[in-house]
Amino acid sequence: MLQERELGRTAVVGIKTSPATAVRKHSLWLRIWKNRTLYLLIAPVFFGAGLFQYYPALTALYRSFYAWDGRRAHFVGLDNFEFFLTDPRLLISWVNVSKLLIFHLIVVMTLPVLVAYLIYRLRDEGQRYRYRVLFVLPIVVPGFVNIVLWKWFYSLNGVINFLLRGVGLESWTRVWLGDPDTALYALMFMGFPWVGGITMLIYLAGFLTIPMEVLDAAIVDGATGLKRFWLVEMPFLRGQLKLQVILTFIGTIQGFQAPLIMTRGGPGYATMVPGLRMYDAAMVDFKLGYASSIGVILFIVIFTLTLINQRFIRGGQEYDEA
Amino acid sequence: MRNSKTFSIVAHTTLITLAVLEIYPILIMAFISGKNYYQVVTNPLMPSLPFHLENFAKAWRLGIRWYMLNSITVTLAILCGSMFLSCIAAYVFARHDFPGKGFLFSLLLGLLVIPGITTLVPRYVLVRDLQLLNSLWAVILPGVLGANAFNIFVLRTFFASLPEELFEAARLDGAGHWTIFTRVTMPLSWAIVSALAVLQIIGAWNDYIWPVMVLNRDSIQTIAIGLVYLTGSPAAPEIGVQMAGSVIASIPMIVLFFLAMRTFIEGLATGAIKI
Repeated sequence: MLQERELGRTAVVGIKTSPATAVRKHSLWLRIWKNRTLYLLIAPVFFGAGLFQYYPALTALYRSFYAWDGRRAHFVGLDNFEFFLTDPRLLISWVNVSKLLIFHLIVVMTLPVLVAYLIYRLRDEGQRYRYRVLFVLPIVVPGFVNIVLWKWFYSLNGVINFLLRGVGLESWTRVWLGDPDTALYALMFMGFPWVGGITMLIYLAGFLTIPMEVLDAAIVDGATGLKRFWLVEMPFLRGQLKLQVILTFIGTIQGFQAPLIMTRGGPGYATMVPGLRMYDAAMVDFKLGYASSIGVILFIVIFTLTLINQRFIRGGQEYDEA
Repeated sequence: MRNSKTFSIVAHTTLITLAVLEIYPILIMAFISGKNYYQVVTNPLMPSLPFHLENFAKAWRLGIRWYMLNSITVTLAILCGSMFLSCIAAYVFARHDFPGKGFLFSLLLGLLVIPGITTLVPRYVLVRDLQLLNSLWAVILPGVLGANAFNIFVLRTFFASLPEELFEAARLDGAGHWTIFTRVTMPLSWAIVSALAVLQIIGAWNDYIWPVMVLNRDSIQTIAIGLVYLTGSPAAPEIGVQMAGSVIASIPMIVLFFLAMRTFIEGLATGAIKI
């Protein structure tokens, strides 16, 4: 911190060329020269960040005001953003992604919490470990394999229809991803019961930080069952919940891998999401300027939601101190 | 405190039910991979005899072997390159002072705010202009150079928590940056580095959208593209062969699970990864 302030001062004062500042200026360059190995060591990371992150991000911002096919570009002002408001495929995609978001938020705050809590309450360390392994096991299946698998589950001769026929609900069978009424819900249902993986582990780590003294005190005070869960144990999970909520926001709003592989946004636009609309605008329609403008809007949406979440959902920190 | 008997029973029943529901689809995938079409239609939920192991041979010959080789190449290259660069940068930021450090670090901090979707299209144009389309470099270079911020943060926090006396002692003994990095920093950080490596491997292996944009030629596609294409094309092989391909695509992750999961689970559970 101190060092930064020094740097700033040098830069400002350096305009006047008094002997004292000349010495300081000289010493700054000297310090930089002395540390040249360190700069060389971190140079590749900054070269990469500039080339593959900052440069494309600035390009997206800049080109969102252009009609651009990837080679030729001309300035069109706010036309892309105007088109953005009237593009029927995009409008539907916002509705769809909102539904997905609400669903994912509910899921991430309930089922994995339940599993983590039940494991945390087990007395036996060995049992805890076995359940932990069992629930992390599904990450051996890569995401794209899971999507391919569920795509087949939903097909005409897939597992879902097989089960329905088995219990005599022949009339309910359908091509789940091909029916505009069910396609989006099929995307949500994929991965049922949504408890496997790292989210649950992170919650469990949160529960395991609860100090024994706090629990003992609560029990002496008569906190049992649900009361103990809500008032004593859940507050310790706030930080983890907040993190998962942010990650869910970020992941759902920009995600489009499942619709891309399973439905390509169809049937009709029943499963179109903004990310996929952007992908299509760029890779199918070659409207890269328009795609850039969608990318910029998605950035603004994600940034705003993250800020709101930071601001209004309190973290676990103050609770720890209280 | 003790759990009541009822609570115990309810807890175990719930956990086991959820675990079965979570894992059963994976088992179905494994069962189907050994079935012919007739067996799939009549009995998709349980294994049936005889096993048609030729499904695996068919999938293997349909190009899965090349896709697997490409994916392994890409994943290893990204893992080694990115972890190496991240560890060194994190070491520099955690254990040294130099002019501009705060500013440079906030430049890295800024990366966490930029979502991948915003940079996707311009990055595609950039990679095209660099003449990298249809070569594995199109996936490897952005993976190695462009996605280190998260690793650097986690590692920097950990490196900064190591006791200064160790570094002091090494410096007094005349050790240079490289010796301190390889002999002091890295041996103490094995657990956290391997936990991050697991995340990195999973990420690289699962990546679909970026590779499918930049790799169009069949012979250089990764397993994610290859498998999705194999299962989605009009000339798709029968479902048993598709699922055999899916099982093959999961094998490296299964190996990883048995090699590293203990470290990984404990790393997460003890909060070694501070997020």
